[in-house]
Amino acid sequence: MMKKFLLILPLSFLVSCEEVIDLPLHESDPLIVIEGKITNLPGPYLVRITRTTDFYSPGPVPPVTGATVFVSDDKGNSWYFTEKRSGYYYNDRFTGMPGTTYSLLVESGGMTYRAMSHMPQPVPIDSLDVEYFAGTRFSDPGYYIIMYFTDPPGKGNYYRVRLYKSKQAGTAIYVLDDKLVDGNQVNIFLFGSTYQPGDTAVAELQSIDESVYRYLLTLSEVNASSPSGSGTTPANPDSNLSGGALGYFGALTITRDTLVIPPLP
Amino acid sequence: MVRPTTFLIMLWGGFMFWGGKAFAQERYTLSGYVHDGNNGEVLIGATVVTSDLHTGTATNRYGFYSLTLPAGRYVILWQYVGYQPLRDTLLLNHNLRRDVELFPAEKELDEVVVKSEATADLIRSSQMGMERLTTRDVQALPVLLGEQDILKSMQLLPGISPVNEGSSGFYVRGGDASQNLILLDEAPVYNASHLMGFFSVFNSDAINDARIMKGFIPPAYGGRLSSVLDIRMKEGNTKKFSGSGGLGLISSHLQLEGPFARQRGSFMVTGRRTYADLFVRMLPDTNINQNTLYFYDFNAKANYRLGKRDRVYLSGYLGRDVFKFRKRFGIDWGNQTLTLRWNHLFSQKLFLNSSLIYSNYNYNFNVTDNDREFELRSFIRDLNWKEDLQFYVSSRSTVRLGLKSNFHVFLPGQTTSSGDFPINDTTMERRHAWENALYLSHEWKATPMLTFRYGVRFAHFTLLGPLHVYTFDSLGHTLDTTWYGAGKPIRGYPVVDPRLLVNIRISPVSSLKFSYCGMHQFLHLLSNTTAGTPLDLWIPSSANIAPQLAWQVSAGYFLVLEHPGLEASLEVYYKKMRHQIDYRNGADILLNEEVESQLVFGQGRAYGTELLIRRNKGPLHGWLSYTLSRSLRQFPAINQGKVYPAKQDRIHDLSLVLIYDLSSRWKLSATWVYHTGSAVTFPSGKYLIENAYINYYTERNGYRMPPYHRLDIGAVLGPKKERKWNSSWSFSIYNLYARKNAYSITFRTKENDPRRMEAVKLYLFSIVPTVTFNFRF
Repeated sequence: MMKKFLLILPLSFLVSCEEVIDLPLHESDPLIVIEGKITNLPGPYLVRITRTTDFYSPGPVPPVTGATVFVSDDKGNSWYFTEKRSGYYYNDRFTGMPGTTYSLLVESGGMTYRAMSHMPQPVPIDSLDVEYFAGTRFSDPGYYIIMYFTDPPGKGNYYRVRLYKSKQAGTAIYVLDDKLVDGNQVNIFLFGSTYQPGDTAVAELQSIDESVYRYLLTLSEVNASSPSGSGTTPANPDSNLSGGALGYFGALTITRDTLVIPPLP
Repeated sequence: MVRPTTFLIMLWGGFMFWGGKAFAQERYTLSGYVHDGNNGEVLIGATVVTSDLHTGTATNRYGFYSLTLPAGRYVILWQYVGYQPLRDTLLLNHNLRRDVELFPAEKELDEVVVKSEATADLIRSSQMGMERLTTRDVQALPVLLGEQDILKSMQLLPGISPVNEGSSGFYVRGGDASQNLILLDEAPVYNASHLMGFFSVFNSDAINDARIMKGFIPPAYGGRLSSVLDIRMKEGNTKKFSGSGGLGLISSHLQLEGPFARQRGSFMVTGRRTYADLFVRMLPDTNINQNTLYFYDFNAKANYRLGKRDRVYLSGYLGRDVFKFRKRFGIDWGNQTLTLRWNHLFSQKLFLNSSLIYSNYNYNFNVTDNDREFELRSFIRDLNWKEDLQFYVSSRSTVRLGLKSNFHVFLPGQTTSSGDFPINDTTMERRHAWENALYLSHEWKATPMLTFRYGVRFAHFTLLGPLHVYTFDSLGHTLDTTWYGAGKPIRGYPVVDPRLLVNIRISPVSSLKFSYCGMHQFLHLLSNTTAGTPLDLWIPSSANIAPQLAWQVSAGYFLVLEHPGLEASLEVYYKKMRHQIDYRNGADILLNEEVESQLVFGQGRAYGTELLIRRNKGPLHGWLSYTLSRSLRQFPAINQGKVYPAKQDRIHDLSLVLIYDLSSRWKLSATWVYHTGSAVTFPSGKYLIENAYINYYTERNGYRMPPYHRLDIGAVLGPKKERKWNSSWSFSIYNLYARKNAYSITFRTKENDPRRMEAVKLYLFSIVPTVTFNFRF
């Protein structure tokens, strides 16, 4: 919130304008991108392996096919992921258990990539609320969702909040830690998605471990769909994968709540 | 470090001895103050020379001079550019006190825009890498939104460039903005910007003199790596009660000054306030009209002559920015400074200034949500004691000796909330630090051709308890915590900064100068953004953060051609910086007790050539300034350890300033600036995470913003003739050819084809015309 606020501040009194420009960018060698998630909800779970592409390239990102993908837990179980579509590796024979540490192993092109993530205990959503906000130059008018949940006592809890509208996930990345709110009931005003009366909002609270939190936090700073530029010097997000791959592997728990936006009084 | 220092001290001792013994003839001292004859303001840097012996001196920061000469008859010349010189024949057979008044020169020279050092002084003075501006310098220049700003005018000089479009923040010789020491009547100003940097906190009404030192920095100054900007407030008219003011598009200002106690004292008070928010409230758009955004400044100064030998000064500054967003968030921030000074003359040769200085910068951020409230506050406070002794040994030798003791208190952040606001009350531990310095310098005119100025600054910085001290591993994870009780020293850093300048006059009109300058910086600014924000956090050196250090060598050629009234200088420099600070990816700076774990350290170097050509005479005057420079950084944790350009790396930087006195009433001006775009990090590829494209970065600052250039024009219409009440109009057009200079460049997916990306440039100002009305009485 603080950062968003700081962006508003300098711009609000100035006449600033945007213009699309033609800006040539360098080419880069393709790098492997691995994205995998295990949750406490039933699978199938997906590990997607792709490559980076040139920035202005119009086509889809190139998949990495023929990789060997395994996920194992800290109790000695191991599951093989099979490639069902180019670059998409699935397994539906297990369900993630909170309190378990999962490891990912990917072998591709003679390289091995590993990552580890701990699945935290789930934290329930207390309630959802809705508030009308008239909007600014930087946000649309409409109904916004406020989520309430209670942080368990003791620091070290990390969260991600996701919003869905007509089953479409919002692209904005919200993550938070409990450094300042430890043990409290927390309310979060979810900028990013607006709703109209009659819409159904689905909100998801994910409990994540620190490595996933760090990844998503640093990802949100360079997400191409969220504004940056006058902020921190951008860099690639801090990945929990070894071997120089981009992306991350996360074990997370999900709780959900639904709210139908009430019709106008 | 030790060996050159010892050498310098030996050298100093030797010269002192020799200097004292050289003349057996009786010697007497001529001393006094130099004032402006119209308003009694002291003239800083006015020269006092003998027309026959070619010896001379200049007034110090309080307008005092002292010149010791063999007994005899002299023609003495007091001069100051833009003023009529004063010539007098004196029989020096006893010590003489002469307080003189100089009057501004004829209209043609009056309000001369460029007021450099008196011409001969450029080549003779033992200064280099120093630029000077007075309020009158900046008056004729076209400005953004009618706000005269000494920090922005300074950016038109070589080696100094703006942080951003329209910004009062500046980079000096490849250093970053936090490496500039900004002093207002000796008080450090920790955040010199209003409205996110678009205006500086220095109201030009209140300023008598401003100088920036970027090459040789005298040993009396220290504590920052790049530069020292020393600003002195006006003392107030000692002749009569008078006032001045102005009405501009976004702000108005008023100043009153005058003598008191039968002219033994004088005072000055100045205020300024913006009123953009008053217009904002008139707008029909309810999104905007409920917002508040304004700032104000208040400067006051008084001085009183206790006797011929003593004078006391009290000066202060208070400024505040206030921003409120629809009663939901608000933030206010500002500086307060207070300086009490006492000048004492022990003798005509011994000048002592004692100062007590208080400085505070703080901010309050608050969020109101129905009946719940949350507040975050932070401050940095300094209490400073300084003694500065100037000993005018002879016409060839001046010694300066001083000490400084500065106690810093930092509150990095404290939150309080009321109602059921979910954020826990958090108070970060206060940091306490004690910074002491002792300096000694000697200016020695060895021969009429050769002048040395050298000295040394010893500084000691100690971080004191009470504090929890953390140790971290190389990844920033906490290893250990140690508790230090109140007043217990945690970590001390003794440092030595040697300084040396050699001036060789190679002809009557030209000189060569060489300098070496060592600098240390104990306070570090942590800022998440490139534009300075009110939430900037200053932190002290500690067990985890070593002081930043730099050394710089520079050489220059200075030429003055009296006839066409031209002066030119060419300087080259090389600067090496160590213990530079950057952040880990996703650094968490706000309210983080272990903030030191978020930092990474590296080194930098900067080098360049600066050319300045000025014309001070004639109806058409102005200057051309060109800088060719690089500034590079190397951090093991950034860019795979490879060298990369710093954000302030601007290879070419050019400013052209022209002023034309069209008639006795009209004055026209134009400035054109050009600089290479700043080094920035852009993506060199993209990839997909969760169906969103993510930028893929391969190198730090591997790209450039587009080149920046802009033409501004201005005109000033003065009064018909001098009367009791005088008024003038200033017109200016900023960015005359409406270039859309990029403020930032961002990337996004195309709206009509979400698989493709596009680059978007944000620009702030197109063409901006302004008119301002000024008056004085």
